[in-house]
Amino acid sequence: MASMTSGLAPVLDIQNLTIEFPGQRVVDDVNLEVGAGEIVALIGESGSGKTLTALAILNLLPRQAHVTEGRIMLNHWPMLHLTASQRRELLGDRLAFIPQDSMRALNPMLPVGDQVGEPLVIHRSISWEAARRIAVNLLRAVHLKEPEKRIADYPHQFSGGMQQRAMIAMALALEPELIIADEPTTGLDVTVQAQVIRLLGEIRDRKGTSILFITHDLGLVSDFCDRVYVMYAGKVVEQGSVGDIFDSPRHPYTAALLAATPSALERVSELVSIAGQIPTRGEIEAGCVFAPRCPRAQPLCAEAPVESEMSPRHRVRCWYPRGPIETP
Amino acid sequence: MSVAKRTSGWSWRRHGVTTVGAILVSLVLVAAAAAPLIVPFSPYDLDVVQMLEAPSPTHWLGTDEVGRDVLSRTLYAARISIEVALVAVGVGFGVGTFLGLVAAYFGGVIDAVVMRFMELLFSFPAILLAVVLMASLGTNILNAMIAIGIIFIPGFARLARASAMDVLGQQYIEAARVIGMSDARIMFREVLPNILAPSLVEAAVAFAYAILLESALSFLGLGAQPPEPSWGNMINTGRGFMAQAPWLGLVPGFALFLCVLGFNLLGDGMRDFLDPHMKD
Repeated sequence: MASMTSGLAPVLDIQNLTIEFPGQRVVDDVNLEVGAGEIVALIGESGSGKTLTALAILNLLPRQAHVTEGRIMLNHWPMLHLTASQRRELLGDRLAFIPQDSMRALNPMLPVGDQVGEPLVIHRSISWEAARRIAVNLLRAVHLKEPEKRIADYPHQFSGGMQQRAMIAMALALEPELIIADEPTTGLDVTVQAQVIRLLGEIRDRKGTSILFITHDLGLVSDFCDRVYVMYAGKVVEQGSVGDIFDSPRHPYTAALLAATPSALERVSELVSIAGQIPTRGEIEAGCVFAPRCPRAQPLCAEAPVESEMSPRHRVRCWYPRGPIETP
Repeated sequence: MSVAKRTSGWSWRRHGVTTVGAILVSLVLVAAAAAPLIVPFSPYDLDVVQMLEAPSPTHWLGTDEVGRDVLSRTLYAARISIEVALVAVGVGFGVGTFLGLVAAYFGGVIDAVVMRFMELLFSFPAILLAVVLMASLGTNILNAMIAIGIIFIPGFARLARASAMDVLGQQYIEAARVIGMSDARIMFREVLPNILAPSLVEAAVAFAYAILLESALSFLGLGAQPPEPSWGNMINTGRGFMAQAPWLGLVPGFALFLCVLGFNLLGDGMRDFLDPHMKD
């Protein structure tokens, strides 16, 4: 596929990624690119395969899951074909991961400062003392108040938002080229969510770090991401710029998802929901995965739709895409 | 004692038993550490004029069959018991925890081989295994320490493996992998501190058991060798003089009883203290 980012080779390039559990295809032919300094959102409901896609990049798939096809390149590193020691060298250094639940991602028995500085000790062989000094700066950069007083604290002495900041600080330690953030704001207060999102945007602006932002919350995406991939039942059904996706969603699923997102500007008497349920593993049929729930479904939808280009960087996988300015 | 002081609102009902255990353990530890300073007589000096004397103001707990002071010997014996228990529990705790951790971390064949071997060790009665090990290693106190230590390995290995399995499923282990930590670093820096609490409780209980085993081996003549005093060999000697001089066997027997009781009570108290469910 031709590079979708402007000229430069993408930092992360996933091609034809297919992940299967025994007998079940959970991620199907996913293509995804993240350019330098770009913030890309990967949106989908639980079970859409978005997290598995991220775990495949990190080689952290559950034991039963296997990548059966595809290629994942982080710059020139083939992520699916690294030796264990090559992967150890890359992780934490060139590629950082911010997990969903920071509360459980920090070791309860170690001081936060040590954990934030640890990537430096591992990858740069600097002393613990020096690592702690850098940890103070990192924690200050993520707007933790009085970091020099907090680095000796243990995780349980931190609030949820502070723990998430600490995780972000740890991810920043070696200035990676790519940060994968898997629903980093789940379980945080709305105001804290906004702060964390702003912080990630700030990091991109300052360091030019690329970010792959995985979420099910469309509300978080619009202000801060550049491009969006929408996943449904293991497939990318639509991709485009934030403007494309939010202003003229072409795939019926994207449109339904947007319609179901409550907005502060409009008063609604009833919350909108998408009829039916996301297919469970193994239920996925041959044709369009969304057809059983799709209001526009036609007989042709029994065949798998091919991806078509709506505008230069706006692609949709649907036989009957919506018009550019239709309202949902 | 420190356990009781740390929590505010000390109550006899909650901490009484632990306190008794702590006091008994402290007494034994003080006796072991300060034996040379506090004993009234040398534990080795014979006195043929005063053989098998009943307790008196000079010899508070009487004398044995060659005129040695029973109190002095009983206090000195605490040293051997504590030494043996320390080394044995150290060996069991160290090797067992390491093996359990490695088995849990790598799983698969390594796990199966290590744990089946642990079960093999487990299947022998402790005292029989100790006697066999002593017979093959040779009878001296160092070998007694090692033999008792080997008996403890499977218990600590199982405990460490079970806790490590639980910890390895935690998200912070995944997070550690994601920053590129090596296997050894994950095992010893991330997992180990999180599995120590239950093993420490087990160590206190194992300590009591080690003292009992050492006494049993010494009783059988496989542990501390005369004239070195040990509760075990003193009880064995006292057995022969039960009618004429019951204090000979009763005094070290009672010392052994209080010591083992103390460590058991302390272990129970530690378990309650470390178990979050027991906190308010």
